Amino acid sequence: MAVPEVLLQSGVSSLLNSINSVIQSLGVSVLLPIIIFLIALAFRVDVLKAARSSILIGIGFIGINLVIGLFSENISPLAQQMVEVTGITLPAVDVGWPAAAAIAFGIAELGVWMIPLFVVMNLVLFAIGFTYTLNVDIWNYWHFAFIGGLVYMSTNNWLYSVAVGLTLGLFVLVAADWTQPAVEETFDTPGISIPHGTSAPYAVAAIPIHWAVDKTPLGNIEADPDAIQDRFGILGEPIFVGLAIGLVIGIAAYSNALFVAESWYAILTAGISFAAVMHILPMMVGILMEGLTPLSESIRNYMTSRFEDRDMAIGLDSAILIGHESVIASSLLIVPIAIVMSIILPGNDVLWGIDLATFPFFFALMVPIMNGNIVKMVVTGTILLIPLHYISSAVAPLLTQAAGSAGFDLGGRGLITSPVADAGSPATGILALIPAPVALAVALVIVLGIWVALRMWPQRMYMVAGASEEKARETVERRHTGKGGGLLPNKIGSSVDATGAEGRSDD
Amino acid sequence: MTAKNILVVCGTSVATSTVVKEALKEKLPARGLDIGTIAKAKATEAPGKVSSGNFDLIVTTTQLNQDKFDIPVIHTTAFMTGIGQDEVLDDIAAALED
Repeated sequence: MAVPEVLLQSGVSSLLNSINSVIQSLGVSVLLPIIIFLIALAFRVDVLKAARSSILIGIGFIGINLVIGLFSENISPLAQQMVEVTGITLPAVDVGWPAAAAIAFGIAELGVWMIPLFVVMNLVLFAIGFTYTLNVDIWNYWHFAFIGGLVYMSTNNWLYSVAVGLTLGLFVLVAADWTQPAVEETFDTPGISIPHGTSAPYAVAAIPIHWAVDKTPLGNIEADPDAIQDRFGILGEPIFVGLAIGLVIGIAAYSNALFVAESWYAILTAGISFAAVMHILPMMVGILMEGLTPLSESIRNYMTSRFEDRDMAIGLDSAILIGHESVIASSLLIVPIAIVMSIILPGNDVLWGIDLATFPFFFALMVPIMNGNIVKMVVTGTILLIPLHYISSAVAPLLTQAAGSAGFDLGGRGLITSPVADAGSPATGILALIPAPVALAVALVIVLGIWVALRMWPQRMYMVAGASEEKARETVERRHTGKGGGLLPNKIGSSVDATGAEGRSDD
Repeated sequence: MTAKNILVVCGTSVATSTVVKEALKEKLPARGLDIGTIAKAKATEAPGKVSSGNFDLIVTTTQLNQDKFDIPVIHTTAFMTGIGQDEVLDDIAAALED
C-alpha cells in the first residue's frame, strides 16, 4: 500500500513544483494580469475592457519596478554610507505605501485573490446585518493582502494568512460603521463610510490616547491650520519633501567630505533622485489603479444592486477626507517630528522616505475625534509614532521577503519598510507580530467587542468617534430602532429610550 | 470653443482621482464638450498646479478651500459611489460652458 501512496505524493509534488516554476519564471507582471483578467470576467467585465485593464496592471508593475530600481540604486547605497560615516544605523528604508500596495497585490501566494474573498465576506456580513457598509473601494483591499502576505511570509500557512487578511477586513467594516456618523457630519459625505486599512486602526488607537491628552493642558491650545498650510505653502508638496530628505541623507552620507566638490554632486543627485521617486512612484501606481477601475465598477454594481432597498453606507477611500485643512496641516507638522524620533528612539531601524507623504491617511479619521484641533492631532500622532517605529522595524524583514515574492528587485540591498501604511500600524502590530492563532483571537475579541458595544450603546459609541449628540441620536433612530434588514439585531438590550439615559450619563 | 482642461484632485492623486478621470474621459465627450487634458493632483499640489493657469475647472473628491482658487471647484463622490453621476456631469458641463 505504501508504494503507490509515495508515488502519488511524488506525482502531486512534482506537479506543484512545475506549477511553481512556471509561476516563478512568468513573474508578477505577467501572472497578475492573467489573474485579474479571470477575476474581471467572473464579475462580468466586458472582455476587451478586461484585457485592457489587465495589460495596464502588468505595465503598472513594470513601472513600479523601474522606480524601485532607481530608488535602490541611488538611495540605498547612500543610506549605507550614512551608517558608516555617522554611525546612525537605520537599515530599514521606507519605500512608502505605493510600493507596499504593489507588493501586497503581487505576493504570489495570496495577493489579488483577496479581492473575491473579501467581496464574498462583505456581502454575507451585509446580508446578515453584521455591517451597514458595502466596501466598494477594491483598490484598498491591498491592506488585507498586505497583512495576509506578511503572515504568509512568517507562517507559510495559507489558511492563517487568509484568516488574518479577512480579520483586518472585518475590523475596517466595523470601524467604518462606527465612524460613519462622525465622518458624514465633519466632511459632509452623506451615505459614505470609510473602511480604510490605514486610517481606521490609527484612529481607533488614537481614541484612548486622545482621551489622556485632553486631560493635560495641551488639550486647551488652539492653532490655525490655514495659517500653517499657507506658511508651508508649496513647500508642503511631496517633491519638496522628497528633495529635502534626499539632501539630508546625502549630506549625512558625505558629512566627512563636505568641502569636496564631488560630494556635492552626489548630494544634489540624491536630492533630485528622491524627489523623482516621490513624484513618479504614485504615477506608476496610478497606472495600476487605472487598470483596476473597470473591475472596481463591476464589483460596485455587483454589490450594491443586490441590496437596493436596504439602508447602506458605501465604503470609500479615506483619500476623500484628506483635503481637510487640519489633515494637511497636521501632516506637515509631524514630518520633522518623525525624522527626529527615528534618530533618537533606541533600537529603531526605520529610515524615513516616501511614507513621509502618507501622514494624511494617518490623521484622516482623527479629525472628528479631536474636532480638527491640530495640536491634539499632532500630540496624539507623536505618541502613536513610538509603536509605529518599532512595529515597522520589526516587520521589515517580512516585508522585504514579501517584496521578493512579488517579484520586486531590491538588488539585495538591505531591508525595506513602509512605516505609515501599513507596516507600523497597530493592526499590523497585533496581526503580524503576534503568532497567528493568538493574534486572530486577540483581533476577533477587539472587533466583536466594538461590534457589541455599537449595538448596546450606539449613541455613546458614535459620540466617542466624534459625532455630535444630535447626529448620534439621529443615526440611532435611523439605524438602531425597529427591525433591521438582516438576521442580527440592530440593538442589544433596552430599546431607544435608553439613548436619553446614555446622553445624560455621558459626562 | 477651445478645449477645456480639468484638474482632478484627491488625497493621493492615485486612487479616487483615477476613478473620476476615467469616468470623465468616458462620459464628457458624449455631452459634446471639447476636453483637452484631464490631469490628476494631490490636494496639497492643487494650488501650485492651478496657479499655472492651464486649468478651467477642478473636480475634487475631497474638501478643498474654494477661496484659494480662481476657477470653479466641484466636490463630488458620485463617481465612486455610482449615485448621482448624471447630476454631477450636468454641473460639470455647465461650469465648462461659461
